[in-house]
Amino acid sequence: MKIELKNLVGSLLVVCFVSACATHTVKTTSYTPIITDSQNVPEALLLDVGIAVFDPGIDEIMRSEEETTNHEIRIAESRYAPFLLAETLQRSGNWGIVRLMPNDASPMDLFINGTILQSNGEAMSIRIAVTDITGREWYTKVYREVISQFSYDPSQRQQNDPFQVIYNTIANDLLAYRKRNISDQEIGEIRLISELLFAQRFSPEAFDNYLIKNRRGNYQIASLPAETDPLLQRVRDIRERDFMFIDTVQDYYATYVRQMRLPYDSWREQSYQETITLRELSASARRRFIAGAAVIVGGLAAASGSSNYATQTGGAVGVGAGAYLIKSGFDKRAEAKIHMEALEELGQSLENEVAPRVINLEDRTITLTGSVEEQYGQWREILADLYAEEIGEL
Amino acid sequence: MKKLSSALPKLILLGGISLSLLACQSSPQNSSSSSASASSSSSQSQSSSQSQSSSQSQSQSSSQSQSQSSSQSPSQSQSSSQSPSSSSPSIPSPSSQNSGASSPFPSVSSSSQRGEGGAPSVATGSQSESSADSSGDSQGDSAQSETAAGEQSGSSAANRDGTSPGQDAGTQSRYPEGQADGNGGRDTSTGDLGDANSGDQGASGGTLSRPGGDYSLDTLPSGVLSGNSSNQTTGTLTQAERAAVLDERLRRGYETFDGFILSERERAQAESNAAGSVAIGGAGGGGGDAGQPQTLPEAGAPSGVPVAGQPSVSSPSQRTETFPPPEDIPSGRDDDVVARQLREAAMNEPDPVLREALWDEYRSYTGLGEQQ
Repeated sequence: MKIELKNLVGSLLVVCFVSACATHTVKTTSYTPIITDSQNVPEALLLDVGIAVFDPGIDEIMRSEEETTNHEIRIAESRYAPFLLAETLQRSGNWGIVRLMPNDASPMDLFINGTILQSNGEAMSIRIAVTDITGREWYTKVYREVISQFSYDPSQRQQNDPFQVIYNTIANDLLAYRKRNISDQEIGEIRLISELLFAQRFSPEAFDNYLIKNRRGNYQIASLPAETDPLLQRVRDIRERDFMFIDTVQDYYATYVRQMRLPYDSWREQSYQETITLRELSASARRRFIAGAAVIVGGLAAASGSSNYATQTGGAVGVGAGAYLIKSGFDKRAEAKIHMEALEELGQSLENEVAPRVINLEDRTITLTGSVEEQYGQWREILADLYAEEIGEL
Repeated sequence: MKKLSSALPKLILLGGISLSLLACQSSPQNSSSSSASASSSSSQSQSSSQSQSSSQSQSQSSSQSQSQSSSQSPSQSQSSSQSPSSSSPSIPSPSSQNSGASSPFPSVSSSSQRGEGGAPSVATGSQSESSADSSGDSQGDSAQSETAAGEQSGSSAANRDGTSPGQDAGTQSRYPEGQADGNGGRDTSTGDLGDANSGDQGASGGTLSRPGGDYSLDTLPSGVLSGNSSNQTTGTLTQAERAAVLDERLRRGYETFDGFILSERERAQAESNAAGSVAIGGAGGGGGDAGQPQTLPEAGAPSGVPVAGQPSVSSPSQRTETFPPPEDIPSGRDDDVVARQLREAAMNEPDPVLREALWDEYRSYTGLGEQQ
């Protein structure tokens, strides 16, 4: 009976030990290229894509990463990552204009919202939600990529962002969804609806009746304005200006990304090393705790369950060895703590670098948006008067 | 004798009534002539007219309630418009006078001509009021001051009328006549919506048209007020003309906006390029090609164009280099957005063949090729 119990305890310990050792990390070294639509899509069927500034995901930070995640860096990344995604989508040639939007006031055919779930230099996880202007949700998907040291190799770094694969995958998925689920007619409707919504923004009295909402709350076209409608032409002129405004904001973001790139890449590379070291040390400490505990239990069992002197001595030695393992586990944990602090310092250093840039970016964007909105307000008044003149209300 | 004494008051009363009727009939003629003198004098001294019109508006502010009630005048005028044809001669007189004199308000004459169709009925209404009693004058005046306050054209009308120096009650009584032009023009422009409904619109249109007048004074661009004298006569603008004014205002807004945005973009692109060159210098380059989309695009890339085929970021000197325009290309100060973008693209294009093609496109877009 005692032997069976010992075997059971021993096998359990072995299972625990093995499972503690069995932490696998799959790293990507392959490069996923961007897929370009093989068909020659007419320009009228290219959807314009607006990407919102990502949610930094501060509320969703995992408990294990709370200490090593710098909120300011997350906020900085939430403006950096969508810009890269916009660039990727734009370069794919599968879409119309792709812009990182300063706000949600300007309707675009397609909207991409993202939440950064993890970003530490080694792994990046983003949740992407895609909706079109009608209100229809295309899909929501979490993209995760764990990269290898190879991605930080200078030769690779020169060509690609370390996490470029994640953006390419998003772009490819988006194209696949569009090709699979959205017909050309629907694309045409989406484009019309976004134009009419923009027109509503500036002349609601003239364009409100062209759109209705169905039971699901999605926009549908009720009727269409005449192509020669002078008010529509004016709204189109204004929309060109709105695109110019958004393009100007793109320049702000481009400046920001370029300024951030060097310190951010440096941080990511160092963070990559520190994160790996931290994870290894933490795993090592955990293994030592488990092994030490197992050896202590085994030693105690041997010492107490046997009348043989040698067995008792072996048990005592086992307890001592277990205690030593646990102590070394504490040492590893302390070492990991040092690396954690190093990560925090790195984060603090980057925060000092990028936080003013984020503030500057926000300031400029808000200032420009305010000026533009003021002008838009005047145009709205003029369009309202023009509409009244044209329908003869005055 | 007794009969005579009892009939005498009646005779006096009848005589008084007939005199007053005669006065009613004579006043339009006087007013038309006086308005002519008023307008001619207004061309001599506009500044005094402004001060006068402002003083009028002050004096008329006391009769605001009356002026509010005078908004009913269109309906009155409708009822009376059939009878007195004597008012109609008073309408052409300002226009002929404007056209006859070297008028500083060319658009007034034209607009008043356009307004003739609708003006008489309004004019008769105001005339009958003005001749009714002195309060009618003040009503008309107050209506004028309201127009002046509410509308740029009203101010110009006030200028014309208000310039008659040394106004007394008689001359003031003629303001409604002169004002009838301005009001008539303005009401006509609203009346253009449909003559059949003009009466109804007049009744409710007192409230409808007033916000429009208030708006146009508040929001008409300063350029329209000061820069273009033809636009100073909005009081008699037709619908199409008002739409044209609004379109012009929209266009000016576009120009201002374009200038603002383009200058801001230039600044942002310069900063972006500077940041890019710094980052590249520090990072050892950020070059890439179409298959390597990580590379940041040229910040000056035209919007909406995929930037896959653009040169790599590793050659910033190429990007910042600009090439002077050919000799036949003007300064481009009046270029619109597209022309500016074409110019910018051409000046930044290092390939001479492509650059010349871009300049050709610029020439054809701006009409330079056709002129040559």
